Amino acid sequence: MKTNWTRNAPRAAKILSGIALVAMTSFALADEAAPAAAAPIPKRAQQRADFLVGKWCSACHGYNGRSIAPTFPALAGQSAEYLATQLKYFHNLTQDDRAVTHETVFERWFTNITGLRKKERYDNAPRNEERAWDFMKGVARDLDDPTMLALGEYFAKQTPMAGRITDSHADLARGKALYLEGDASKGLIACQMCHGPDAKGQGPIPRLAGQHADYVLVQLRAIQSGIRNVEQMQALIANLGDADFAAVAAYVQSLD
Amino acid sequence: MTLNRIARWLALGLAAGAAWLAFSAPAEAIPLFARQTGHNCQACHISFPELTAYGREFKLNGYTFGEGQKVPLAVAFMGEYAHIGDNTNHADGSTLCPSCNKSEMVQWSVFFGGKLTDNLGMFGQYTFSGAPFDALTAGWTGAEDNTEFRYVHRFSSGSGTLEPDTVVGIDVNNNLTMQDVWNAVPQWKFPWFPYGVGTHPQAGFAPSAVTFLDGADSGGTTGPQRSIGAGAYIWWHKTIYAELSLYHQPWGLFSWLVNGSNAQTNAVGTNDAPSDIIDGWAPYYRLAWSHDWGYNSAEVGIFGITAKTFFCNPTSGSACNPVSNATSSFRDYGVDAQYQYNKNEPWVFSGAASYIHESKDLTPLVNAANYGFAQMASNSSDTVNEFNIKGTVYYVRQYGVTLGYSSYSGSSDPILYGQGAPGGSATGSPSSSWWTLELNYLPVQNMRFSLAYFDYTKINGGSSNFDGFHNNASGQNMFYGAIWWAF
Repeated sequence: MKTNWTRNAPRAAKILSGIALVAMTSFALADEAAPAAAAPIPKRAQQRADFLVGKWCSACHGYNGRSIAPTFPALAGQSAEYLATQLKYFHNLTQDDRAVTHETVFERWFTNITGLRKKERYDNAPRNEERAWDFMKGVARDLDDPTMLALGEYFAKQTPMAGRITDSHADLARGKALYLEGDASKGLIACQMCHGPDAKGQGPIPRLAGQHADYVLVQLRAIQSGIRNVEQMQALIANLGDADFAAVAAYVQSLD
Repeated sequence: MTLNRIARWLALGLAAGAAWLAFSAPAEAIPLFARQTGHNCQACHISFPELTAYGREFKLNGYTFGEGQKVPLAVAFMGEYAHIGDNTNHADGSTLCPSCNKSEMVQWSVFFGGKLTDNLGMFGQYTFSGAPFDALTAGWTGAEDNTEFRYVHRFSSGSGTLEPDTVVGIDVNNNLTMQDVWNAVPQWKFPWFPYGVGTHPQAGFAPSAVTFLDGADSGGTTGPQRSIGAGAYIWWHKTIYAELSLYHQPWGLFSWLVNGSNAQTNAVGTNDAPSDIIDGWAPYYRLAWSHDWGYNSAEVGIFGITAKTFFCNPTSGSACNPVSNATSSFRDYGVDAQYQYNKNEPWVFSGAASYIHESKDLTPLVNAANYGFAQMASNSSDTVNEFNIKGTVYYVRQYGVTLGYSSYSGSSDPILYGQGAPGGSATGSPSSSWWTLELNYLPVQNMRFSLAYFDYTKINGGSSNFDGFHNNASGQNMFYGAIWWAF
């Protein structure tokens, strides 16, 4: 007799391998991160980071990393390792990565017929969404590794934004269910499995508690489409809809 | 080689260099500040030059974000096609606008400066006019355009933030109100493309009465490159902006800031400007309250200036020779407000409005006969009011529409706003009002195609036969196609 097992085996395998991948990545990155975290940050990099934080970061990310506009994520209380990694991703963006994203029809035609695009398109840049290009590519362009670490550690120490509800129509119950229990029918394991029961993240996995709902929503869409390349997550959220994203985003914003 | 020819070759050389820069640069082909910061245009601009909240931060921090570039240059090119509703001067049947109804290159600009140190930055612009629009005017002439230096110092005011939340700055600039960051003051209000400027003086009607603050539009007492301002400002907690600046006629070391303009020449003899030279120091103040929440950014503010201008003796030289104790005076009071919604996915909205009231004393113009001139004004004191309002919507930052309304009014002064065709006033009233509709398309971030329509409902006190010579306001309606390309 055919059981549900044979039908669900592929999805289960995907989920299990996703979890395994996350676990392995966490251990791997943790091993790599630990030595870096233990090494003291050079004074020059610390000074550069202090300067940048005071003179530039707050222009978008707000004072103490608590941003006003959801366009810019709150950085306060975020994992230092996650922040440093993201800065590295922004730093590594090249013009050929951009070719994949939000270039206009006209730009694509022009660079194609003039031959200005010199390399194969690189589809796997981890951060390739439009906002990365609008703002963060430039900020990260001139940073070196120790400065990125110093910046990450500064924001990690800030008091996170308090949980809040900004949309009275948000389906917080659905968001909570998705976050704490997942949705087997859509192939989603509970978000808390990686992001933690209180959405505070750990190591390379970002804190979501208190983050702007609209920012989380935009990132979930970007991850689902692959423009923001997070291998561990793309398969897990492949079957979710925009309403699901909005619900879980509102839920995590409400957490302290 | 005449100066004109040299200027033309220089402009063409710059054009060639700019074209090389444009086509060899990466697909985004970004101008000076974008290269310095690595940002895309839309980080700082709703659509250049209108600023977002982050763009305001960049400017108020002295243009010091990012890394100074080895070749801190950018180029902008503006082209235009102007169509006038009724191209006949009904006083004598002549053609009102010989250069209308064909395409023109309006101007080239070179931008320079940006970040000089972590605390010092500049915005520099040098602009070349386009081809001459008739046999009597010189083309390809260059002059210093909007240029300013900023020195900033940041500190924490103790309001609870760990990072500096206060910027104090010193600003030196050559164009009244260019130092502002909201898009309602005269220098930065809609429309931003210089419609009509490059074609013919009569195309794209310019109001007879403009305030001292808005003098740039009529080439009057505070036209670009006419005076130097130096001042200080404070930008506290992204909430309060306060500035005090003093404007003065250019002199000595600062003369290069007005290079190319006739800042020192005697401007007496035009029939609606007493002189172009500020007497002493003219204080300008600006106070604004700003608030950001979610995707929203709102501002309300006041601004104003008190100024005296020389009345110049007739002279055969090129410098203004002031008549002692004969000065005109101006007192301008302005209020402005702005609101922006910048979610960007996919909608952006920006609205701005300003109202300026001016009272001016023109006694020397009334008594001009005492100085060897014909009488230039009927009233020793006049008022001028300017109201401008606009709303802009952009979809995915590529498709935009702006609707604006302007209304200029003031005291009737039959001699100051006298008869003449075209463009005079049959009644001596300067009241004019018009609507502006602009459609925009940006195929790439640094290039904008525009279609603009100016609908004049009233010019100089009348909608039909406003100048007494059978020219109608609607006959001045203008339709433009424009290209603005910066790289």
